[in-house]
Amino acid sequence: MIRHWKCVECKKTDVTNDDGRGTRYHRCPKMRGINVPFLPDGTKAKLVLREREDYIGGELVQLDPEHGRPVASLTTIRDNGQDVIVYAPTATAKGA
Amino acid sequence: MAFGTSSKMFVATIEAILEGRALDVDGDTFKIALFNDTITAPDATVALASTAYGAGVWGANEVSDTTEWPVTGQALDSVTSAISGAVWTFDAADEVSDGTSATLADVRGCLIYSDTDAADSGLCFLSFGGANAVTDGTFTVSFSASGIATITV
Repeated sequence: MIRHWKCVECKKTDVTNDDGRGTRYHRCPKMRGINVPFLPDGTKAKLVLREREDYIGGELVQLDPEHGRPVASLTTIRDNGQDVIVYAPTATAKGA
Repeated sequence: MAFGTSSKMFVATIEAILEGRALDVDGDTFKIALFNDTITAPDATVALASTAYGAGVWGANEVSDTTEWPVTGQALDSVTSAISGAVWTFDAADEVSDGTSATLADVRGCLIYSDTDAADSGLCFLSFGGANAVTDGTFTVSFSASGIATITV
């Protein structure tokens, strides 16, 4: 199944030939270098990147590559719904 | 009540593994179950029984979609257990809801637990740092390059 993709932020395009499942990702220069999903070409949407709202302290959270800011999630808002990618922190335990 | 801001491994689970309890970190089927912000903040130091899915604070406030992120959670794929220097890391492939029409509200964090273990013992919990919702879409948990959980000695 040939699928045509486009990033709604940086306008990069891609084409995949696969089983039609899953989503194509790329590191978007317009979204601080974070790995974000392409959308099927022609889809109207916007991407909203949310920084982590909670106190970080010693938590091992994910940072955006461009500014080193803690990121929590990326929401893709479409005309008919929305998708979310959560950038999960790492659970830790220390022996010393 | 709130999920809290911490992401931690359960101390009692580490003890149970060290004492020979049958919990195979790269052989068991591990699941990821989602929870909302009504939950009482999870505690890494609870007794082993209270780490389990369906027990302690994990007995209520689960968030699910009928088919695309069902009750009891999604099974993790490509689970790995590895040591590098003084750090042990548990990791898996990013988890994506099954399909493109999931609806989930107020997803604040998750429990990672062994579905193979008879008691469904928890390994760790992750706080997502805010509420998340999807409508007729996909929900993805992108795990850190540092892994889902680490122990540093």
